[in-house]
Amino acid sequence: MPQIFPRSSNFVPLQIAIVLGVLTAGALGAFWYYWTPKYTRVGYQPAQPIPFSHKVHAGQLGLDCRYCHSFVETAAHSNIPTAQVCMSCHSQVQKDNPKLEPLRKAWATGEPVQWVQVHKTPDHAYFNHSVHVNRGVSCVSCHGRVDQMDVVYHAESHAMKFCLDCHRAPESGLRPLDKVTDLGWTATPKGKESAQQAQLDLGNELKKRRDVNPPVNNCAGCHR
Amino acid sequence: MLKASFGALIILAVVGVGLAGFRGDKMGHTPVEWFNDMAHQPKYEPQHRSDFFNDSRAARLPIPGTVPIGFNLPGRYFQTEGNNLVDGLGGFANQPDYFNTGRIGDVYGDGIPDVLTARGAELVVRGQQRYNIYCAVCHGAAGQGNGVVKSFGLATVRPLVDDLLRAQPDGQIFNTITHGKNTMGAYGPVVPVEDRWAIVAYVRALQTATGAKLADLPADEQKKLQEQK
Ligand code: HEC
Ligand code: HEC
Ligand code: HEC
Ligand code: HEC
Ligand code: HEC
Ligand code: HEC
Repeated sequence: MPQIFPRSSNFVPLQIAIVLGVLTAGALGAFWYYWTPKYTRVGYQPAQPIPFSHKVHAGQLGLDCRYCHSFVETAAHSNIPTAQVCMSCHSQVQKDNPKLEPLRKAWATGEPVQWVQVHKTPDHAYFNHSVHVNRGVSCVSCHGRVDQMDVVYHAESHAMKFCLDCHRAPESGLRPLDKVTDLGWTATPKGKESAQQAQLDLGNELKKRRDVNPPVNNCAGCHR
Repeated sequence: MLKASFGALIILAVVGVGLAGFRGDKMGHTPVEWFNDMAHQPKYEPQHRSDFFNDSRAARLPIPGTVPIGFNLPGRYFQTEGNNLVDGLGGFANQPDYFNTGRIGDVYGDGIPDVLTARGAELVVRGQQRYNIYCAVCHGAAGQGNGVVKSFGLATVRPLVDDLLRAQPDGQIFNTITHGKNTMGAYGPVVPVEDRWAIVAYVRALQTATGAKLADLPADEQKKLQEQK
């Protein structure tokens, strides 16, 4: 009588184990790679009702961020400008450009332009722009090189780890106050120092001078 | 069999990565939230929409015919390096006095209000900073009317350092910033009252500097310039 199971079937359990092992490793890898704001948020780039370009306005024309986001230094919320701010130029500049139709409509009717929000902190966490900006944390630390973006996208993860990484070592992000909206600025190295070291030296000095002490272990500092 | 399973696994991986993409890929859909407990609470946030009101604005405009008075911005105490006791920026107010309107009765007044002159040179420095943010794009860094936007089609921009504006009282320039004039938009809604006066002070400084002669400089500055020559 021939044997029901060929000899090779002795290896089947081993083969199943190997395949299951690889499958589990793959699933864990996918979980690690995808289950994080670094994947779910970074790169979020919604289409806006008007193809407004920061690269043209902040980069090329050299407008300061505060020309439009005028309350970023004084309020928790960084405001999106009203149609009036745009119309001070666009009443004459590119007056008949069809891309600006929603703007002219907003200006004529008083209804707001429906911009799509890109960055959103969950409501269980508290965020405040003015504390950061007035302590010399630049927009670039949290928003990337907005002045080089044609369409704004989510450049940093804004996960809790992202906030804490800086709160544990704020010297990596502190600058002179007049350089906060100058996104391309870097600390000038003294002598043969690396650019990174120059930033840390300056940051440490500013940290001491300004007595900077962001919440780290105090959960209620951000979850209030 | 092992080979076939690995083949299947590789296909699964390629299809999976193909569908999901990589970290940082640009995407147009709203980010997925794995746990969104309490992330969206039923409250209005600044500048958010409301389906209750016709114009979809959650923030309401003042009721027609009413005048908000003495509205100060929050964050007053977050100004200046590390010193929360120094008064920073005030706010936007509608009191009908000289400080808030630039007018005394029906005529434009002249001079910077006393409460601000106490800040001395710091006021002009603040004015310079604010001027460079809000005015220089059109009027140019030195007030010559040659800001970058002029070359892009804003033809009516004028210099701020000519005789007509030198002769204007401070209150009138303050009023121009607050409400705009002819083809210039209003900057009152974005620049707080104190900062508007600071800008007026800086515009005066620009006007003084533009017509200055060597003899107007202090002696040591004159010497420095002569040495450079
Ligand atoms: C001419 C006006 C203007 C200037 C100057 C400007 N912005 Fe903006 N900004 C806007 C408008 C309008 C939007 C909303 C539309 C959009 O997202 O593109 C916006 C959106 C943004 C957003 C995304 C907001 C969100 O929904 O999460 C960020 C971040 C931002 N700006 C940062 C900056 C920074 C940093 C600077 C200075 C380098 C700057 N902006 C200068 C007008 C301006
Ligand atoms: C300081 C003046 C100024 C302000 C304020 C300003 N813009 Fe512009 N904008 C310009 C200029 C100048 C150009 C033309 C650039 C060029 O020709 O390359 C432009 C170009 C544009 C374009 C591109 C048109 C095209 O054909 O590609 C859009 C869209 C636009 N602006 C929207 C806006 C919006 C929305 C706002 C308000 C948030 C705004 N602008 C505020 C000066 C301004
Ligand atoms: C420490 C990190 C950090 C810094 C520095 C920072 N931002 Fe933000 N920004 C955020 C976060 C977090 C949000 C989302 C806030 C929310 O959901 O209320 C945000 C939101 C915004 C928005 C959109 C607000 C909205 O609700 O639509 C704008 C515009 C903006 N920032 C501009 C700026 C500008 C301009 C600067 C520099 C002057 C700046 N930010 C500096 C973290 C930062
Ligand atoms: C690049 C550095 C940096 C990043 C990134 C950063 N912070 Fe901060 N944070 C600071 C500094 C500096 C302070 C000021 C501490 C002080 O005033 O002593 C601060 C202070 C704060 C405070 C205290 C405010 C108060 O009223 O006392 C809160 C809350 C806060 N940060 C929340 C956040 C959140 C939420 C994020 C992530 C979205 C974040 N921060 C990201 C540097 C950073
Ligand atoms: C620097 C500010 C900050 C501090 C301090 C902080 N958190 Fe958070 N926390 C955040 C932010 C911002 C988020 C939202 C993260 C996101 O949207 O991915 C968050 C999210 C969370 C979440 C939800 C999980 C998630 O990823 O969505 C939990 C739970 C949490 N925090 C617990 C804590 C605890 C416990 C502490 C004290 C040890 C603490 N946090 C301290 C800023 C902070
Ligand atoms: C968007 C471009 C633009 C910006 C920004 C701008 N202006 Fe003007 N300004 C103009 C134009 C255009 C005129 C000419 C108005 C006319 O007579 O049609 C003008 C005229 C003026 C005048 C003369 C008014 C008169 O009595 O004839 C003054 C004073 C003035 N601006 C001050 C300022 C100050 C101060 C700021 C900064 C807060 C500023 N402007 C920002 C475009 C601008």
